[in-house]
Amino acid sequence: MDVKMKRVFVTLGDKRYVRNIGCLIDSVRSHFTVPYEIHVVCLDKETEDFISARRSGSDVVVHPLSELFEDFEIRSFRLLPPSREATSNAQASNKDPQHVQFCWTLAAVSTSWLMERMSCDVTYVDSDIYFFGDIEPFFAELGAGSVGVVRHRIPYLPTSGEYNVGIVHFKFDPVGRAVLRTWRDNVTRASGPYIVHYGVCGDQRYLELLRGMFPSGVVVVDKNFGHLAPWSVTQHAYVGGKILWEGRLQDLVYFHFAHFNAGRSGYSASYNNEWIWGDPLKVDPFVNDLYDRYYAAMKGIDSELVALSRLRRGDMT
Amino acid sequence: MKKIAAVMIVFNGDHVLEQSIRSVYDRVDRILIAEGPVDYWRSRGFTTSTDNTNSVLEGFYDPDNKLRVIHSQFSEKDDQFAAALSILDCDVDYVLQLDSDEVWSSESLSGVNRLLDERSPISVGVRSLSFVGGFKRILTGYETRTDNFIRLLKWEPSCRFITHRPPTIVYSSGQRTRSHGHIDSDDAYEMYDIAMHHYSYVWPSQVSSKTEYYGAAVSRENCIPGFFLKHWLPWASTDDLEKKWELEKSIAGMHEIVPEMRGPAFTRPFIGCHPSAIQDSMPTLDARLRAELSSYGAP
Repeated sequence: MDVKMKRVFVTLGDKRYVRNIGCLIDSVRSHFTVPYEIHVVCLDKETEDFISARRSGSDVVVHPLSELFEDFEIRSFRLLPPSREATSNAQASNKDPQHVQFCWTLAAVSTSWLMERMSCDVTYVDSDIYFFGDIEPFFAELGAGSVGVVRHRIPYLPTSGEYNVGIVHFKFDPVGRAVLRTWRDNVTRASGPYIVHYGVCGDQRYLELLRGMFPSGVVVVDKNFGHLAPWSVTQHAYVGGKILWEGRLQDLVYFHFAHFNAGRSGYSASYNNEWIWGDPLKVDPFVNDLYDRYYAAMKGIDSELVALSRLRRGDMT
Repeated sequence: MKKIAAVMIVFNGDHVLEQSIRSVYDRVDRILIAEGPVDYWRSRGFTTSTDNTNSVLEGFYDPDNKLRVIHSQFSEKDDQFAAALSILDCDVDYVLQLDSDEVWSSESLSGVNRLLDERSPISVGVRSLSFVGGFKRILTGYETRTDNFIRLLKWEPSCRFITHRPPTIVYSSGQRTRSHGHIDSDDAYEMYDIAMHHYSYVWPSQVSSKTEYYGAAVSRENCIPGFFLKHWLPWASTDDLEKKWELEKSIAGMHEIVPEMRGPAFTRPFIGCHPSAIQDSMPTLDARLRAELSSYGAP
């Protein structure tokens, strides 16, 4: 089938996110009704091995980072000096600031890299997103728009901006290409006219800039497309298995399980701004059920990871 | 369809000269060529091209009598470009600056037709797919920045050519190139799929000559000393990507201008097809590359 007849998604992650990627793929396979391809940019060998071994199929395409690094411009982004924000983020999480800075380029860079190769529409999806429904309402609401963005669905904070990078769609049309180029250019520059104002939160603050620069082409998909994240759980009401957002009852399409921490005997849902937006597990049983289902999906992948590891060691017992 | 005159200046530029002219031949109404050395090369004893440039021009199949060629010697490239324009002998709407290492695909020329018909621009920037050390990798960054190459310029009988660096024309209205009505290279690429294939850093003879001229006569202080021998030649002589990367890392890309002036100009794989004029002669072009590299001791 011609790729132009499919929805094309790109996600990325390293071994810390391999379970999320597995869950994302499974949720897509369960719910999407239109032919699709998911392109997974694997930042390390462990992720590449697992996705290749356990999630291979005509709908999943694995790209090791080395494939992107054949483009030396992309490789050079690893050398970008870390911004103040990247340094501070890295200190808080005990990471390499330069690696944090590089990771902040990857959503835009991977999407752009894929679009250049495939000459088709591409949707970026964060690896910690899990679908509970079909994504088609997103595209129905996007309509003739060239770029689709989603809101955080919280009162505005300058540090996080208005829009969330969890899902961003780009059409392969003049406006979609121009917006994607602008996003990529801005997150890969060590300096530039927008760095001071928009550089404060990695890649997603720039979505605001893009909406300002291309107001008719960038569409905020919000009316008929239900989604949740830890920070937005307290901003919604829950009615009969649906979510209530700004007076509209919506089917839940996805949950952005950012900061989800699954252990052997349970999970934690705490996140950075929990002190502002509240504990998502103390709101509604509907939400707790979503978390439980995600945890169960992750545990299933844990078992696969163990099995794969045993197989590699030759331990068949 | 808008009428176009392609304007070329050339001296010892035979590498893809025939392919360059052939790629636009069917689309343009005239091809004006000024062949010969500028002062820098004259001072080194040249009076005309000594490679196959002249035989390519003389032997070019021109059934529609579109070619006009002037052989002379010039003080500088602006003077040479003006000489080429001076032999324009028909009415045209646009001038296409065509360097002897630039080749156009039929897809990009279709985009040009659509753009000129729909927008009637005063000038158009063109994205360059600039090849380095062969036919598989192209430059990014500096080389692809907005309007690094202005290639299409509106033409009126009363307009005045000012310079070809960057190409600039002044019109009787007082307007000039890149003023109101200009289409930049990003819009031309994203809206009309316009890009030119630019075989600019492919052959050793081409790169050594180009960098010698720029380093000595145009912009000595902005050129990397020893770029050809220390950077480009080792890069082109290896297929090892890691070695290529190390060479690029040391000068933030593979371009003769110092990184402080140009910013990054790293290479990436070329995706897509070469124009048919290049595809048809790829074995010959590649054989020349191998032979030239070998003459410099490359494996």
